[in-house]
Amino acid sequence: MVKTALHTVMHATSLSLRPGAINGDGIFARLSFTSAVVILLMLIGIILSLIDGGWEAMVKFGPGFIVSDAWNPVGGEFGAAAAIYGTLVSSLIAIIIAIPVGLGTAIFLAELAPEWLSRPVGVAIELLAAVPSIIYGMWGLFVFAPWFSEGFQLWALNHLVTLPLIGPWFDGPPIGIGLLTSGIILSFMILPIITALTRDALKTIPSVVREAAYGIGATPYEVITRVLLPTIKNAAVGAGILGLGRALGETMAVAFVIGGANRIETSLFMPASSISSTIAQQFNEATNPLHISSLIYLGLVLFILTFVVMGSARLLLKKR
Amino acid sequence: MNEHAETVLSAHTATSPEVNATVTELSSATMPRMEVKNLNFYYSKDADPALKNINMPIYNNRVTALIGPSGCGKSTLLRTLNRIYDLYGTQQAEGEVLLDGENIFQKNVDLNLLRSKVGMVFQKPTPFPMSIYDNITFGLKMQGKLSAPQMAVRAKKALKRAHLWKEVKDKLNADASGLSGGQQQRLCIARTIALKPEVILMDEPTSALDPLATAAIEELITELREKYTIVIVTHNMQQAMRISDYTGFMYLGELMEFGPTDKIFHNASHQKTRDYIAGNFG
Repeated sequence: MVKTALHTVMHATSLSLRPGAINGDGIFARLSFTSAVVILLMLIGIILSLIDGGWEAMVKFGPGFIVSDAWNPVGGEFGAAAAIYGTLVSSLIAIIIAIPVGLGTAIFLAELAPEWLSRPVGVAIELLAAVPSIIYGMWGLFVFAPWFSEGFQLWALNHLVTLPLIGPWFDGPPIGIGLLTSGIILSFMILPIITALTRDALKTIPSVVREAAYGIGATPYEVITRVLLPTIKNAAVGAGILGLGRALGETMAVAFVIGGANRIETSLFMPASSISSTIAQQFNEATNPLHISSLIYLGLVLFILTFVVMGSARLLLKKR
Repeated sequence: MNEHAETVLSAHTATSPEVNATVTELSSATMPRMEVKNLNFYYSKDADPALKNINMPIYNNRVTALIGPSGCGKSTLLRTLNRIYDLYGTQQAEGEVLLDGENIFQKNVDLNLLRSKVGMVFQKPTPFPMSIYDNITFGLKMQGKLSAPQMAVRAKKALKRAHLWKEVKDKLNADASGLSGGQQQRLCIARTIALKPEVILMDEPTSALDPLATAAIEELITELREKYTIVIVTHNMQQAMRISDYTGFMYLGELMEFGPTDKIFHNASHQKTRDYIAGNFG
């Protein structure tokens, strides 16, 4: 007993906090816990307000909303299918273009380019990622679209339309804007992210791995394709997912060049619409409560769509 | 090689044709396989030379150890022997390194061929992100000389010679990154052997390994010496003493002394060498 008491006394004098000292660790832990919870609450709050705002449309159209391609503000008929189609197809075009180009650029910058070239180009790519999306949209509408109309679409109308299977994609008015144009503008937008992430991943591979591969007589092509790329496989897929996520939700750049037509067409040259561009273009003009509610419902659909795409991509990554 | 031949080989009894070949090779052992002549090395154009006027023979079927304090240039010297430094544009070598009498610094040298003749094993194991089997055949596939069955035979031989076969024979298609550090290092050695090199360069091959794995690699090196010429950089002087036939002591970019390991360790001519071996610096 005495021993324990003595021990307690010693404990109190030598190891306890100085009188008046603040337990900083506890405060810090609570602060960071609060921050984490706030994020979670915000997420739940957004979902709840989307459901609340879209309730009228949800009651009226139900789940059929996502398969109906009707969009008639006057007649009070709304469906999300055309916008979902436009969102998915333009994003798909974007990553189909951006992944190979981004990967190629990253390989060139990290493995092949001399230092005097790779450094300025690398900085330029990081700056490109910081360009606001509305700039891409304006550039797309005023510079790219006219050029695209004359430089590619006219040519495609003469040469690609007759191709089997993919021919109908290129059968449409050569007006420069449309689904394909917005896909291409999106690819420019997500290219910097994909490039920068894969380049950084390549740079984290220790040089001894390259030396080992070159050391048994591999050529640069073999070292890159057989050793380096498999090593960064996960990082590259992650970069693609981030790019896809950005493409799915992108609003301004797409709103400028997609054309704003609520239709599902085979032709990639036809004007179309994406979820986010529809919301951006119509929200200010919508006066009918059902119209507003339908736009919010559309927002909820985009939220879920993005969530599902990102979630399944994450699952895919885990399985590897 | 089958189990039997392997035992025979390590017992030094000449009964199989393969062993006879080894014996013939051993008789020419006093010939240098490689020769370093007046070698200077620069990490960049304006920098001071990292290697100064190195002259050194590398004898056939012998283990040559390079020792010296950190930063003395022993790894740099090793890296000139297969021109791996070429990957970095700024690095330059002057002088000559002869492999079988041919200067490897010549402009028209096929680097891929040179590196398949002069293999390299690194400080840290460097398995490639593929299966164990693919790691071994990676270099062979690139050479494109062997058919698939021939390659399988070669891979098995290499794994056996690296004493890894028993541990991995049931999981050849498993990812190589799942092996332990020591196994990975033996895999890298097997990968090098599979290409039938003439010379194997080893840059502190055991410094990342535990004592047991180190012992296994050292034993392996002693065996490999019968077929290959080995140059090894090591920080561990006991290791140099145990496994090498010749030792070069390097200091501040110069080769201070080179000779039979016995002489270097017991009767060195230079005071610096004696000091280093006695552990007085470094």
